[in-house]
This record gives sequence, C-alpha cells and structure tokens, in this order.
Amino acid sequence: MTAAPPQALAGLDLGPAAKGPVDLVPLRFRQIGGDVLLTNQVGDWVFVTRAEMAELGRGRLEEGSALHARLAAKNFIRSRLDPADLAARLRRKKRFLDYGPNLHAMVVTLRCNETCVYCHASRADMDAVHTDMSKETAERAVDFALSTTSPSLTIEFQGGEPLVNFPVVKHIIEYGQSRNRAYGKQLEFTMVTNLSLMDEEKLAYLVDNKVQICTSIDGPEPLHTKQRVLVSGNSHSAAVRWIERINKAYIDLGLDPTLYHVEALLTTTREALSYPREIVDHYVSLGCRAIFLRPVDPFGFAGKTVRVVEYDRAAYRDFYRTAVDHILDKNRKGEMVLERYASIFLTKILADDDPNFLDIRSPGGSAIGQLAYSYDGKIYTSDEGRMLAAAGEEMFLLGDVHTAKYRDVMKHPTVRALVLASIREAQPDCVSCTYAPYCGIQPEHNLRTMGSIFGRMRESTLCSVHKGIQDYLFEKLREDDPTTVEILRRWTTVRERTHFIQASAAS
Amino acid sequence: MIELRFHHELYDGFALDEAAKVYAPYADLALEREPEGYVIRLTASAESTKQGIDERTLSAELANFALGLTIERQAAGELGAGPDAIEGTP
Amino acid sequence: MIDPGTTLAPDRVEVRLEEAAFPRDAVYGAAYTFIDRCYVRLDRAGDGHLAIVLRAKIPGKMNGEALAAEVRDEVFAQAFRLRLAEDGRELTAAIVAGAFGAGGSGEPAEPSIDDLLAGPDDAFSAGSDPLGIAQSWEEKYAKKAAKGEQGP
Repeated sequence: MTAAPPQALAGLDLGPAAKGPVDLVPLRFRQIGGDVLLTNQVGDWVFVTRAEMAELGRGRLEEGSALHARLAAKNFIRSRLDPADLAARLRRKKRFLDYGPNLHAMVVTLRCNETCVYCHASRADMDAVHTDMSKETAERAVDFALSTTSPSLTIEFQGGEPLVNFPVVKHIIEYGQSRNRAYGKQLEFTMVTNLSLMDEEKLAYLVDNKVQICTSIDGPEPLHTKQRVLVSGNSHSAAVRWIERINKAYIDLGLDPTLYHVEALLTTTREALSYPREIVDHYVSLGCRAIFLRPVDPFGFAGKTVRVVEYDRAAYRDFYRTAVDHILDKNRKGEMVLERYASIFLTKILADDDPNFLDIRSPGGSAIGQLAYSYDGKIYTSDEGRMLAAAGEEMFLLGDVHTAKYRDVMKHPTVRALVLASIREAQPDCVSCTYAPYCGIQPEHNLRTMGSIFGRMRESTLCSVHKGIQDYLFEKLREDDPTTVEILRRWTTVRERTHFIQASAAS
Repeated sequence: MIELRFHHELYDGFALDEAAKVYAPYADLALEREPEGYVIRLTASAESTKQGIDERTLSAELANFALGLTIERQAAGELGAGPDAIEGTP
Repeated sequence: MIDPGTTLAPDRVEVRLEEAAFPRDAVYGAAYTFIDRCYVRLDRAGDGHLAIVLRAKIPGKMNGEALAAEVRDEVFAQAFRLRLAEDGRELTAAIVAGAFGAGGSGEPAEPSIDDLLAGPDDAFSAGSDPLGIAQSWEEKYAKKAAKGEQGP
C-alpha cells in the first residue's frame, strides 16, 4: 500500500470567483479522506464536507445553520471571536521566545567505539584523544550555558560516545551543580550513549547525580547489530543489558517505572522500513513507553552512505502508518506506549499548546532554543550546525567559549538568518499550508539537502515527513473513533520527571 | 543552444541573474534584456555533456529555479507590484 | 471534460487563465506547488490572459488531463485563501499585535530588534535593555535581587 499524500483540494470546484462568506476568518484547507480540514491562524481546526466547502466557496453561510454553529464554536466566524483571547493563546504557545536557549549539547569527545551506518556525529577513532574536551574548556562551556537567559537548562552529553570521556562528564556535572547554586536555574543533565562502555561504577554515579539516559535501539538484534557495529562485542546485547539494569536501578530508588526509564531512539534506515511491527514489539519488550520513529537525517556520515540508508519518503510514510497503527492496537489492548512525533503534533492539535520541540516550532530552535559546544570549545547553532561545520560549512559557528559573550552570540548574523529562515509564514509554501499552525522548519536540514537555509518545502524530505504524519493523525481524528481519540489525547499528557531536576541553593 | 524567454512582468530579473549564477558551472549562459522580457541562451558545457547532462533538462531546471526564486522574492515582499517594479521598468 | 482554456500535448499541459480573475499571488502560489513534480513556466497568453505551462520531468509519466484539473483547482484554492486573508487582514493584525505588541502585554511599546541592534552597545547595558534578552543571567537577576525583586 502506498499512501499518496492527499491533494490540496482535488476536484473541489470552488469556481474562479471563489470568495468566502463575509464573516469567515482567514483559513487554510486540505482534503482529508472525503472531507475538508480547515485550520485557522492559532491552530483551531474543523472538518467540513465537500458540499459545505463548495457553499463556503460561493460565499454562502447561513447564520443559525448547523455549519455556522460548528464553525463559530471553533473560532472560524469573525463576529464571534474574541481577538484578545486568540492573542493570549498565541502568546502562550510562543512563550519559548521569552527564554533563549534551554538545550545545551556538550560534545565531550568525538571518539566512539561503535561504527553506525547512518552516523551523523562526525566520529573519530578511539585513539583520537585530541578530540576529548578538556576540563578547562568544559568549565568555560558550563559558564557560558549558565550565562544564557533561559531559567531552565538541560545540559546534554553527546559525542562520539560521551562515556569515553567520563572524567569530563563528571567534571561538568559537579562544576555545573556547584555554579548553579548562585544562578538558581532549573538544571538537568541528560546523556546520549550507546551504553557499551557502561559499568556499575559509572551507573552508580549517573543515577546518584540524576542524569537521564538516552540510547539508540534500531530494532531487533539482527537489524541493530547490522547497522551499529561494535568491534569488541554485540552492540545490541550491550545496550539491552544496560537498559534493563538502569531501569531496575530506578525501580530500586522507588521511582515509577512508567515515568522513569531509559529513553531509546530509533533511526529509521532503508533496512528498517521492512520491520515496522517488529521494531515496535521490540521496543515494548524492552519496557520503553515512547518510540520516536525518526527518519534518517542527511548530516555527517549519513550523507556519504546515502545510497545504503536513504529512501523515498513515501516509503517512510507507509512505515510510519503501519507502525503507529500497531502502536494504537497495543494501546487498545492495555499497553501504554506512544509515538513521539505523534505526541509532539497532537500536543499542538489537541492540547492547544506547544511542547517546544526545537525542530518543530516557528521560529525554529537553532541558536535561540539550543546551542552546541564542540570538544574544542566552539559554539554552534545546534548539533546539526556542528556537523555541517565539520563538513566544511562554517556559517553555523557562533563563537568560542573561551572568548564569546552571550550577547555577541545572540547578535550573530547567522542567528538572525536562521530565525528568519525558520518562520513558517515567510515560506511561500508554508504560508498556505493547512498544517502551518503546528509545523516547523529546520534551516540546517534545508541547507544540507537543498543548498539554502530557506529551502523549498515542496522538495523538502522533512516537509514530506511532517505532512505525512499530520495527514495520518488528522485521518484518525476525522474517523473520530472514541477509543482511538482517547488514546491520542493521552499522548498529549506531559508528566514532569521532576526527579531529574538538580537541587540548587536558590530553589 | 537553447533560448529561454521570460516575460518581465512574470519573472524577476534578480532571480534570473541568480539562476544563471547557480547554473553557470554546467553551461555557457548569455543573459539579455529585450523589450518584452529576458532571454537566456544556454549551451551545455562540454563537461556537462560528458557527464550525460541533457541540455533541455538543464534549461528546464534553470527556469524552475528562476520561477521559484521569483515567487519567494514576491512572497518576501522584495518585489513591488510585479517582478519588475524593483527595477523601475514599466 | 477538458476546459477550453487548457491545451494538452504529450508531456505538456498549458492552462490559460483570465488575469483579472485571479490575484497574481494566487497564480504564483499555485505554480509553486508544482515545481517539485514538473517543469513550470509562466507566460502571457494573449490579451489579458496568463498561461501556466507544465512539462513532465520524466517523459511519459504525466496524466495531462488530471494535472490540468489539479492546476485549476490549486489556482482557485489559492485565490480563495488569499481573498479570505485580505478580508481578515485587520483581525490577523489585531491578534498578532495582541500577542506580541504593546497592546497585548499592557507594557510600554518596546523598540524593535532592528532599533536595538542599530543602537550603540550601551543600549544593551543592564540599566537600559528593555527586553533584557542580551543580558547575562547574573546581570539580569543579580540586579533585580538587589532591588528586592524575585527572580524566576
């Protein structure tokens, strides 16, 4: 089955003089199944029939009619609106603009003991010790992160494989905890690791210091080990062993295992496309409550092995639909598991909020939502920007922790350009897209795939993915099966994992 | 050689200039302004031909690029009432 | 039924439109949606008419009649959306101003980012940076603490 994306309005003859009723708000529309989805500027949505849409296109909307009532209830009738209320909703959803970068990715080393077919980390071999971050650079990076304006901060350890440079990981944690006593920020630490170098001593330290652990699982063992090669052993066994061990450690601490567990991420390669159900089943068997069905991205090494891992995004859309249908079936049988992409979009669609996922917001999170610090102290707009810089594209370099001031970094012309490039309403395609209220643009992805940070959304593989996911979700909402809708609503509920928030003297 | 004609009321001169720059590595290009619009005369380079790049495809891709950039500039408000307004031509 | 304003040829579709009937942005917006699938050209087609010409990127893979219908649908849809946007321009401005402008927050009007960046760096000193976006954490909250105000 190939899920062809629905046409904007195939066969719906609005007529050449199409003009809306006088009282209708500005809106965008798209055919979903046999109906037409309307969205307004702040993200309200409603389905109308094709016949109703044709009437609207002829300027006809009778006050007091059922259609008028339905549209008014969803803020599509101008005379029934409270602009102040809509403004307040819009402001709340854009509150991230008040804060500045809250995610600070620290690449503590480029050394890595695994070779992954899609790797986008610009990894180095295990003897490349010159790619380890020094303690002095780490301190400057922490100082810089704390000087930024966000009241909450997540320091994310990345690599290479961050466990390779564990002494500096520890130093960052301890230095950050100490310095934050004066700042009083809401500080958290996370680590993205392949887990193969974990041991009991490291685990005890990370658990004691409340570091959230995130790893990669590419599916059942044959698929995972084929794509993630660990010369010294079995990458899948190592990851699974420590996932189970870490999850047990959380239970031993008395933490709710439905909330506290290792997060695992998938990178959907061409090979993985054949196993949507098997991948979901494998994640559930590991105790994972969230699956993030990420398509392969074009950065770093993945660009060089494109013929091996890349694929038509129509194939990804089929994979996604099959996998999420399977996840929904599991939910109907009592298994609480969600898909992360769906959760992000559904929070915007159903919960009228913005979860601040940096790659799916407008303006995007490059620089103003996140910063990446390379092992040598250079500051980049994002980890993707750092990887592009490693491939020769230096525009994403904003400064150096040894010399830069936050003010100067935020005033960098690249930051301004990326903000402008990631505002949906400035894109010729996005401005008329029905999903504009929910979607986002990633300028680094545009540059890598299309040669400009603005890109051209018709040709964007990321746009294709986002549209495909939202088409799928709105098809489910249109079907309006009560059980399915209830499951999707549950996926919008955010339970704070307060255990991972570091205590500070100011709190 | 392929001759492409772009009406000045529908295509932006700046966009055509940029398209010509982007495709310059693949073809010999001559851009001219005539009373009714712009003309680009394109001849695929020897290197392009050796790589199997078809001259007709090259010209179509250039035209698509120019149209896309024209539309993007229009959307960004960088054009006035029409593509030529910024250049002050009728 | 093929619209009389449509010309079909192998791997080529030409849709003629009355220029006065559609905003130019609607024609552009519609043309833009096809540039990934087709080679698209815009041209004049006689008095008061424009033409959107599509050519197949892959020979033999174009259903001309269906594509022509799609082009017409897209032009109409773009025109409909643009007309609604124009009619609702004041409402949109009110919502955005309420969300991000002085009226929404109840505070005095703030200088634009352009104004701030054009000004001298002194404009960003802690005492005169109305947005406070370029201050270090210590500058911003240490001073507020000294004045007895709460940090976040």
